[in-house]
Amino acid sequence: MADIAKTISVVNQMTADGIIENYALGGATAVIFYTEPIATEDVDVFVHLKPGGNPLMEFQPIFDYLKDKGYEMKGEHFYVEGFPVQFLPTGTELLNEAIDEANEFQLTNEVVVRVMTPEHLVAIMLNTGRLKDFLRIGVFIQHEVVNSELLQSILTEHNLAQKWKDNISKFQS
Amino acid sequence: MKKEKISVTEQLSEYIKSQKETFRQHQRDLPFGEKMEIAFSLAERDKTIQHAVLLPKTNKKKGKYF
Repeated sequence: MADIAKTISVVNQMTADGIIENYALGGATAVIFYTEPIATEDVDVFVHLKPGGNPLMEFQPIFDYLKDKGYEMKGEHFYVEGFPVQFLPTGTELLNEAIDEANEFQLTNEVVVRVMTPEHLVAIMLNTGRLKDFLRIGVFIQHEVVNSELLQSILTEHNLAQKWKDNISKFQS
Repeated sequence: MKKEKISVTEQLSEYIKSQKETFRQHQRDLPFGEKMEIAFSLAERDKTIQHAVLLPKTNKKKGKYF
C-alpha cells in the first residue's frame, strides 16, 4: 500500500521549490487526521499559489511540476506516490486563514505535515453546509477535539455564528 | 436501599455502546497512514454498495431506464 508520508513529502518539496506558497490538508483527510477514518476518495490539499501568475492558468505550475516528476493525472486528481491528490484553491478569507494558521505535525522523522485546525475545519464545513459536512462536524464534536472558545471566535469573525446557532441541534445527535 | 433492576436488553445495549466507543477510540489512535488506508477502503465499499443497490435497472428490450 502507498505511504501517505511520501505523498506529503512531495507536497512539502513543492513548497520548498517555490511552486506553491503554502498548503494545508483540509476536507475529509484533515478530519481523519484528528478523528477516526471516514470514507474519502482523495487527499485534499488546499494551496496558496504564488502571486502574479496568469489567473486563468493558476494551477499550471503545479501540473507542470508534477508531470515532470512523472506523476499521472486522472480526472481531477494527481496520483502522487500512490494517493489521488486534489489541489484546491482558496477563495475565501476563511480558507486563507485556515492555511495560514494550520497546525504542523511530525508525520515521520523527516516529514512534517500541515493540517487545518479542527476549529477552522468545523467553520469551513459549516459554511459549505452539505449533509456530509454536518455529519463530519458531529464526528468532531463526539471526539471532543474542538476548542469551543476558539471556534466561537472564528465563527464570529467570519459571520457564521448565526448559522451555527441555527444548526447546532443537527450536530449533537 | 433497593437496587434498580436493569433489563437484559439495557445491559446488552450498554455493552454494545461501550464496545463501539472502544472501537472508535482504537480507530482514532491509529497512525495517520493506516487511517487513510481504511478511509479509502470505506470509499470503495460505498461505491460498491451504490452500484449494487442504488443504480436503476435497465430495461434491456427498450434500452432505457425505467
